[in-house]
Amino acid sequence: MAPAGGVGATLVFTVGWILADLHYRAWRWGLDEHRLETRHGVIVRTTQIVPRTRVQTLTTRTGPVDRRLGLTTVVVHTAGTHTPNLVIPHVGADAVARLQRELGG
Amino acid sequence: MSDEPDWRRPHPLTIVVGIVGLVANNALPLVLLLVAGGAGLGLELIAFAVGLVTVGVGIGRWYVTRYAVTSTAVEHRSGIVNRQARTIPLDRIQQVAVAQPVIARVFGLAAVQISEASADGDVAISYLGLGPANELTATLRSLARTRDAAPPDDPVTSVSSLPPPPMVLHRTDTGDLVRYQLAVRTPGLAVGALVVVAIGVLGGASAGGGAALGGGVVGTVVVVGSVAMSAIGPIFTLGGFELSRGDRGLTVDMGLLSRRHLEVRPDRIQTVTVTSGPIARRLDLHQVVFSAAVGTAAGQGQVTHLGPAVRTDDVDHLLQRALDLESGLSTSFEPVSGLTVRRFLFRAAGAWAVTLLPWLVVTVATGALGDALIAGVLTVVWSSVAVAWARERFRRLGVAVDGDRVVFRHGVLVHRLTQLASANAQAVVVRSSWFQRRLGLADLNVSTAGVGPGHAVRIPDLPAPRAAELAAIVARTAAATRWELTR
Repeated sequence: MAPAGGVGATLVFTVGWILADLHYRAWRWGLDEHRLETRHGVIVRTTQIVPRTRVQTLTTRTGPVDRRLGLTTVVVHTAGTHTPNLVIPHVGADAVARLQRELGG
Repeated sequence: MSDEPDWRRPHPLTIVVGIVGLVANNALPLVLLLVAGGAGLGLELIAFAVGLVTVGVGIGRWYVTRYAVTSTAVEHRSGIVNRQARTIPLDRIQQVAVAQPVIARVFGLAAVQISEASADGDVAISYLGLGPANELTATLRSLARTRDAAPPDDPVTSVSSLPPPPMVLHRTDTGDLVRYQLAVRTPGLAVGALVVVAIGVLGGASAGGGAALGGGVVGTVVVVGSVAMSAIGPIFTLGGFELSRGDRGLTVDMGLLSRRHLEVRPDRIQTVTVTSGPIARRLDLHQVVFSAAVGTAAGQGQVTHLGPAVRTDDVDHLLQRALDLESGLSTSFEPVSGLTVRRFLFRAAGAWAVTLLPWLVVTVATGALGDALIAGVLTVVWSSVAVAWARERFRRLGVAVDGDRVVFRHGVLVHRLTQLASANAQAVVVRSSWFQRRLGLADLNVSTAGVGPGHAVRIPDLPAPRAAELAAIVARTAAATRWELTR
């Protein structure tokens, strides 16, 4: 039983690592003078565009693990009822500062 | 305006309306209680006590409820135990409605419902006399307007110039409304009738031939009756529907027993949707609804009509005069990718593979050839329907995007057409699954701040570069427009 459990655990871990890596590689976000755009997803690729003038509020979230690594998750709220939020996960402090400066005003 | 708000209370008859409503809603238990009350003194005392408490609560609730209109907001205070204070800034008001449920109307009362865009929804001031209710609505409207405009140099001229009378854009013919409501429910009727009549016949057949016929008749009567009943409600709610446009923006009046009067500014409207089912189409009738940025509490389950039963020839005219939209049904659409047929058939094949295929395999393997034949026939029927449906779905899908608006046409049995101004787009999303990427396709979703049917547009299976292009066009227009839930 134990070897089977060990093999299973290794398999899960490896697959998880690969998926996480792929997801990380696929994640993009960009901010220009007109809009905020994010691209993410491995199997289902999603591009989300929020025009700058549609940003209602900006929220940041930090969990304990994020705090240790100096990361923050930024949530951009719109008034849309179908796509209310744009989530940019685990970004560094300089990115957060830039988003707050550009979108918060 | 003075600092202290001018607090008013609802009309005292509100208490009576509340009690009448409570009695009406609990008529059956009350009757039973009265009947059983003759059996002993105890029940009568309980009923009396309950009645006393109800009246007391009604009076208390009326006493603590207050409202006031200041120069900046509408204030509302309510609640005996849990006090609630609602403040709606005047420029956040999305729509104002005056509603007269049947009982209130009997007493000459009306409720004023003020909707704003937050999730807390709306404030309902109930009940006021009809005159004060209309006055309140007019006050809110004029206050909202004076906040838009600079104060006039000479206040006298703005009072003496009378606003032009509102122009009636659409009056729903009651016959059309009845036909439309029945048309919408008839498909359900057909399916329900088949099921119920079958049950009736089978149930009766086990008791003898005559009973089978009786069962069938009873089943039909039950189904027809329930369809008629379900159509009666909307006919009473929507009867006498009239849409006007004037100084107040768009106004909607409807209701035969309970009246409802709604005012909304055209620029608050987020999307417009035109719908017609298969039978309604034969009758040349469509339903036109809009979605506005009202809080989910207000918008939930409440469909806001521009026209509950509009003739085909009148639809485009209505949209143009109500909302200045150039073309509705007569828009020229570009199709989505033809590969959507393949994607649809792939999904239909998947559904077949998990339902009919196992059955087919099992019946063939066990040699139950009769059942296998049935499974085979069903497979043939399934594939023909799927192919025909996929083709029709592709034929129906159409999108028109320019700098100003997004128009999306879809629906196989029930035809739908949704329009929204690109300036109202809140977020644009382009999404493609692994399978779609293999075919070079992508979905385009445009969401607005509207609540209700058609508040977002989801366009499937566009060629991927075209989806990105349209997304950019819509986003560019939205970015260039300052959008606020005010003014």
